[in-house]
Amino acid sequence: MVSGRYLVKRFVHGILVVWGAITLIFVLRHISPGSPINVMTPPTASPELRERVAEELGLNQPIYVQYLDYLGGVLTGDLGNSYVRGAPVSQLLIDRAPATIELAIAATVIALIIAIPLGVISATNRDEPLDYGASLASLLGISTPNFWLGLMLIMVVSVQIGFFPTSGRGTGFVAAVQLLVFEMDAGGFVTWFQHIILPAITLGTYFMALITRLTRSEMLEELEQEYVQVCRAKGLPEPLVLYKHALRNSMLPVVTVVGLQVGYLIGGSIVVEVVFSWPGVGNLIIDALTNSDWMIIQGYLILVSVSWVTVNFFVDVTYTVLDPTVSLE
Amino acid sequence: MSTPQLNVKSLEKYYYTNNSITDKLLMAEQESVKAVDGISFSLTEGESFAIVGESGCGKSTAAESILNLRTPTDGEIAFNGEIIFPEATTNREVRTEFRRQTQIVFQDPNSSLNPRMTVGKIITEPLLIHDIGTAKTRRERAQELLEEVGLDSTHIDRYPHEFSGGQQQRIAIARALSIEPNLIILDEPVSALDVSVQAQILNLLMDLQDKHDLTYLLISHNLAAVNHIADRVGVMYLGEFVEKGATDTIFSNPKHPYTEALLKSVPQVSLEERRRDVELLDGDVPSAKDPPSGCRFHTRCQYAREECTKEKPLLHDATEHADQQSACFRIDDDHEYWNSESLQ
Amino acid sequence: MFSKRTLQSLRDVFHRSLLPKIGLICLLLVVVSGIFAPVLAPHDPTAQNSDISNQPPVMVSQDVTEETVELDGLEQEVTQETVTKTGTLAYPLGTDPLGRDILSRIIYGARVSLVVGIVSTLLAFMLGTAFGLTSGYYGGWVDDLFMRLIEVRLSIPGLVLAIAIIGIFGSLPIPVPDPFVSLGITPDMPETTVIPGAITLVIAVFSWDHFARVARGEALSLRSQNYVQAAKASGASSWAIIRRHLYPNALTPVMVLATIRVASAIILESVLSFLGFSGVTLSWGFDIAFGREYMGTAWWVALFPGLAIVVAVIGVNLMGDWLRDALDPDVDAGGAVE
Repeated sequence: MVSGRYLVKRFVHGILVVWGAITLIFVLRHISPGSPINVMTPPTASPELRERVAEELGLNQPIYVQYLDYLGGVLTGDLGNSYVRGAPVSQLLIDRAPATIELAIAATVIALIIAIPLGVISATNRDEPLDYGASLASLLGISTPNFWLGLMLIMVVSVQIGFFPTSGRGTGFVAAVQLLVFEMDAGGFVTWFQHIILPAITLGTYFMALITRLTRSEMLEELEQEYVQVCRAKGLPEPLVLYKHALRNSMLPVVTVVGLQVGYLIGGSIVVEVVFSWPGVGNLIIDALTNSDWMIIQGYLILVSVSWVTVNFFVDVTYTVLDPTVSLE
Repeated sequence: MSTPQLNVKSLEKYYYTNNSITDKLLMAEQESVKAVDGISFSLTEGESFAIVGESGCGKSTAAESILNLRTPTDGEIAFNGEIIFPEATTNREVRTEFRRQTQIVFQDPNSSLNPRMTVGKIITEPLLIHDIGTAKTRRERAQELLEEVGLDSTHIDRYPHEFSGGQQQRIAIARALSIEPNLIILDEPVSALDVSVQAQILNLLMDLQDKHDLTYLLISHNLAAVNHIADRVGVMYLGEFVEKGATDTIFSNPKHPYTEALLKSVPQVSLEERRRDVELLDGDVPSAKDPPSGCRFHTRCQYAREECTKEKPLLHDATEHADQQSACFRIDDDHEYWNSESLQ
Repeated sequence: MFSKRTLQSLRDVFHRSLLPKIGLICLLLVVVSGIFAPVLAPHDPTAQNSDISNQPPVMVSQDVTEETVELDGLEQEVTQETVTKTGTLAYPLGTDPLGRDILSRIIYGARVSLVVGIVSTLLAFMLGTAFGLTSGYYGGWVDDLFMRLIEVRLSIPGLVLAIAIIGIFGSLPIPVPDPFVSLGITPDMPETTVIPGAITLVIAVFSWDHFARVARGEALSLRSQNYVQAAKASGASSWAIIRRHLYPNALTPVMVLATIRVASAIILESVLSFLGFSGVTLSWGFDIAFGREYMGTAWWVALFPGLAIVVAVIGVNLMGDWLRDALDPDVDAGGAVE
C-alpha cells in the first residue's frame, strides 16, 4: 500500500524540484541580455523615464530582494504583469490553459486507445504480417516530425477533401457539454470534435508510436513468463490471460512513460498550436518570445514545471496501486 | 615484541538507512545496521590470519573497511606502526605506501577482471597506478608473473573471458603480486571455483606465501580452506568476534558454542568432502539491524541461559597456555551464568 | 573499440533482418547528400528565378494561380491568371514560389540536420557521460544532489526551454566555408553553409541528461565490480577508475542511446527551424515553414523536406535498433569460457 510517509517524502521531493526550477528560471532572466526596460519604453526614452520604469519593476533593488519578492509572488500565485499586454500573467495563463489541457488529454486518449490494442495485437501475432505492419507504422510514427504531419493532414484532409477546419478551436469542451446538457444541442459537440481531431492526432502520433512499441515489447516479455503458461494450462480463456494478466503487468512501464512524456506533450503542444492556430498557452508563449515579454515566459515555465511535477507525483502513486509488489521505500 | 604488520583496533562499520537529503529535511529517524561492530586483531609479518563466519556476518565488510574501500565508522587501523585510519591523523605518503603494500584477491574471478582489458594490462595495473617501470618492463613483469602463477606467458594479450574460472583467479593473484606487496587480503579466494580447482589454488597461495614471505588475511566460510592456510583464526558472528586464537587450538578444542556448531557442520575437515556452506546450524541468522540483546548468539545457542540475554560476554582468555580467546560465559567457572535458568 | 565478438554479433543481426539494411541505405543517402551536396545538387539551392517558379515535380501537372503585380503609373494592377504547369526533369522535385530547386535545397538541408544532430549529440554525450559516471561512482550526497538536478531539468521540457533560451539569447548562425567551393570544384555553389549554432548548443544542453542517467546507472552497477574495488585498493585515483574501468564498460548502452538521440536532435532542429528560431534560411524545417504558406497550390514545397526528415530519422532509428539488438550489453559482459 502507499504509505503516508512515502507520499510526504515524494511531495517534499516535488517541492524541491519546483523550487530548483523556479530558481533556474530566475537566474536565466538575470543573465539574459535584453532588459525589460527596453521592451517597455521607446528607444528614445529619457533616462528619467527609464529610471522610473526600473523602479516600478523593482529592478534597482538588490538581487536577493528581487529573488525573495519573486519567490513570494510565485507562492501567492502572483506571476507579475505582462510587459506588453499589461494583464496579470496568471490570468493570461488561466484563460489559455483549458485549450492546451484539452488538446493534451485528447492526444493522450487517442494515443492510448490505439496504441495499447495495437501493441497487444502486434505481440500476440509476433513475426506475422500484422506485427510487421504495426511495427512499421510505429517506426514511421516516431520518425515523423509532428508539425509536418499536421501540415500534411491539413493539406490532405482539410484542403483537398474538405473535412474538418484547418485551424482554430471552435468551442471549448465544457461549453460543448453545457450546450448538450442544457439545450439538448449536439452542435457544439460536433464543432468541438471537428476542430480538435486533427491537432489531437498530430500531437498524439509520436506518443502512440512510442506506446505501441513499448506495449509490444513488454507484452512479449510477459507472455514468456511462467505464470502465463500456468494460466493457459489451467484452461483460462486466452483473452482473459492476455488482458487480465499479461497486459496488466505490461502496463507498469507504460504508466511511467506516460508520466515522463508529459514533457513531450507540453513541448509538442507549442508546435501543434502554431500549426493549427490553436488558441492555447503554446501560441501565447510564441507571441511572448517574439515580443521579449519575459514575464509571460517566466510564468509559463513555472506553470510547466509545476504541472510536470504534479503529474509525475500521481504517476508514482498510480504505480504503487497497479503493482502491489512495489513498496516505495 | 615486534610491531605487528597490521593492527586493527575496535573497527566499526555501520550502515545507515534514510540518509538522503530529503530524509534529512524531513528529519526521518536513521536506522543503523552494524555490519562490523568493534573487532580487533593484529597480524605479524609472514603470518596467515583468517576471519570465518556464515555469510552476512560482516567478514567481507571488515576486509573492505580495512582497505578503506568502505570508510569505517570508527576504530583505528595501523600498518607497520603507522596509523592509516582515521584519515585525519595520517598523511598521504603513509596511505600511498599502504596501498602499495596491500593487495586484495576477490571471490568471483570473473567480476574481478575488467572484461575490456587484456590480461597483460590487468596484471600490470597496480604498477601503472604507482608509476613503476616503463611499458616494456611492465609487460616483461606480466609475462614473468603469468609463468609464476602457472599460466602460459604467451596468453598475455588475451581477454579474461577466454580463460576458465580457475585461470581467472590465477590472473587475479598475479595482479595482486605484481607490485610485490607484503599483505594480501584473500576474500573467499576459492569459494566460487570448482572443488577440483580449489586445492590447486590453495596450494599456489601457500607456495607464493613461502616464496615471497607474504602475510595473508583470509576471509572465508570454508573451514577446510581456513584450516589449510591460516595460522590464527577469528570466528565472527553478527559483526563481532566470538572466538579468536591459534587455528589448531580452536579447531581441536572450540570453547564457543558457535565455533563448535560451525565445526560440527563440516563432516570431515578435508578438501574433497567439505561442504559448500555452513547449513547445519539451526535457525536463521538474526538481523544485524536489530541484533539480540546480551550475547548475540543466544537465539541459536544450545547452552543459552537467562543470563545470556542480559549481559554481553566479552572476549577472554579461554585456556592457560594456548592462544585462544572466547566470548562465552561458560569459560568462567564462577560466572553468574551457571546459576541462571536454561532457556530451553 | 569493438571486440571481435561484438563485430560478429553486429554482422549476424545485420544479415538476419531487412530493417538494418533499409536503415543503412536511408542513412547513407542522407550522409552522402550532406557531404557532397555541392557536387550532387543540380542547381544552386539559393538561386531565385521567377521564370520557373512553382513548377511541380516531374511527371506532375498542376494548375497554378499566379499573381502578377504591375505598376501602371501610380495604379497598381493585380492580374491573376491560372496556368497549367508540368514538371520537368531539370527540376525533379519541382521549384518553390521563388523558383528555387527543391531537390537541391533538400540535398543542402541534409548538411544542417546532420551537423546539428551529430555535434549536439557528441556534446551531450561528453557532458552527460562525465556527469553520470562521476555521480554514479561517488554515490552518496553527490548523487542525491545530481538526481534532483536532473529532475529540475526534466521538469522543464527541452523544447520549451530551448525556445525560451534561443528567444532570449538569439540564434547564433555560424557560416561554415564549403570546401568544394573554396577548392574551386563547384565554383557556382554557395560559398558557405550556415549552421544554427544556438540550436546545436541548446539541443546538447537539453539532451545531456539522457546520457547522464544511462551512464549513472551503469556506473552504479559497475562500481561494485571487483575490478573497480581492486583498482581502488591499489590506490588508483577516482579519475583513473572512471576512465579505465567505468567508461569502457559503460560505453555500449551509451552508444546505443547516442544513435537514438541523433534522431531526436534532427527532429528538434527541424521543429526549431520551423518555428523560426534557427537563424538559417536553408534547412528542412525552414523550408517546411516556407512551404506552409503555399500548401493550397504548391503542395510539393512543404512535402519533400518533410519526407527528407522522415528518411533521415528512420535511418538513424533503424541504426539504433540494430546496435541495440546486436550489442545487448549482456552479450559483451564476458563470462568464462570453461
